Amino acid sequence: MLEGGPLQSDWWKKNADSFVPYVNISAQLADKPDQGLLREIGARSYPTCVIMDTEGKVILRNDTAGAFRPTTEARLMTAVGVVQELLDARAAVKADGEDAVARASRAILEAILGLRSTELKELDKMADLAGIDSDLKARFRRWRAIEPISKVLKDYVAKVKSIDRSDTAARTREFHQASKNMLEIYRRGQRLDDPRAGIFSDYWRLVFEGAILEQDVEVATKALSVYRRAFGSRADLKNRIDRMAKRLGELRTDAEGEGR
Amino acid sequence: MRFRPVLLAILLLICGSAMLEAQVKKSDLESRWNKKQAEPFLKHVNWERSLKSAKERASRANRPIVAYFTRSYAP
Repeated sequence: MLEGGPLQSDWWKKNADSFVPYVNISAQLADKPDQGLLREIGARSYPTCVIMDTEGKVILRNDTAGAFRPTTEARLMTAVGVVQELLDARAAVKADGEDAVARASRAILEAILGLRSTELKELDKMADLAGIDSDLKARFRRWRAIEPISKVLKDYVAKVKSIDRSDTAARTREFHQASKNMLEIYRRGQRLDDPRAGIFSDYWRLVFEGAILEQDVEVATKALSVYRRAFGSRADLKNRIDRMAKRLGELRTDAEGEGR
Repeated sequence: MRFRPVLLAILLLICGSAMLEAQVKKSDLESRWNKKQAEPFLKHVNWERSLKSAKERASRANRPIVAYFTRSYAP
């Protein structure tokens, strides 16, 4: 439990000047402060930890380990640092609204954090401005590389959520559309090479599916090969990989029959 | 006609016990709330207890707000 451990630790106290600790205690008593705020921020369970900006807007609710929890000093301060960087960028713009580097830094950070969407082309120009912090630039490049992929996945999940479970035809249609979109991204040259990335598996599965749909043997072969190299040792994925291999085999047979 | 006072008495008894139950529940929730206020973690750092005061402090210092949501009515 956080209350019996981290929230009573020396490191929590030592770092408490770097942020404003705010506790919200739900009591089922209407006269207590901010009752219902948990629901307002879109959370349900206890405990919940989020990091907000100075206006109380939630900026960070997840970190690399999942739902944010200040379980260690490093985890706390990394998360606080992410939001502090945004606040500093906003303060710099407030101090000098004409400062192009400050405005670009703020826009890039807001895009990376998913707070505001700006055209990728515009962001590319901003990232190339002289004076942009090199670390921010590197983070932008990493984010930029996976943004279109994340968008296809997010759009697909949002659409599928709005379709009734029994409507398998509509769900399949969306899956096929997402697969074709992912294949398009692959063909534009955007690849995911690191299996540690959370979306690596989804990316290659959709590229494979898109390639099968468009009867592209070469890309389907490549996608299966990458997928197998990354997950071939996993027993829980053996059936899936076997099915993929079977479909690729069928596609090859068809292609040979048609003389492609 | 003479049943009316009896019915009224039963109704009052039911309402009275429901109100009493609500009162007991409220007092129990209040006591749990007070117990929560005495938790050692709340004394360890200077927690803001309302979002309004947290925002004011955060704006003055340009610092992020680390918001921790917990509850007093259940373990």
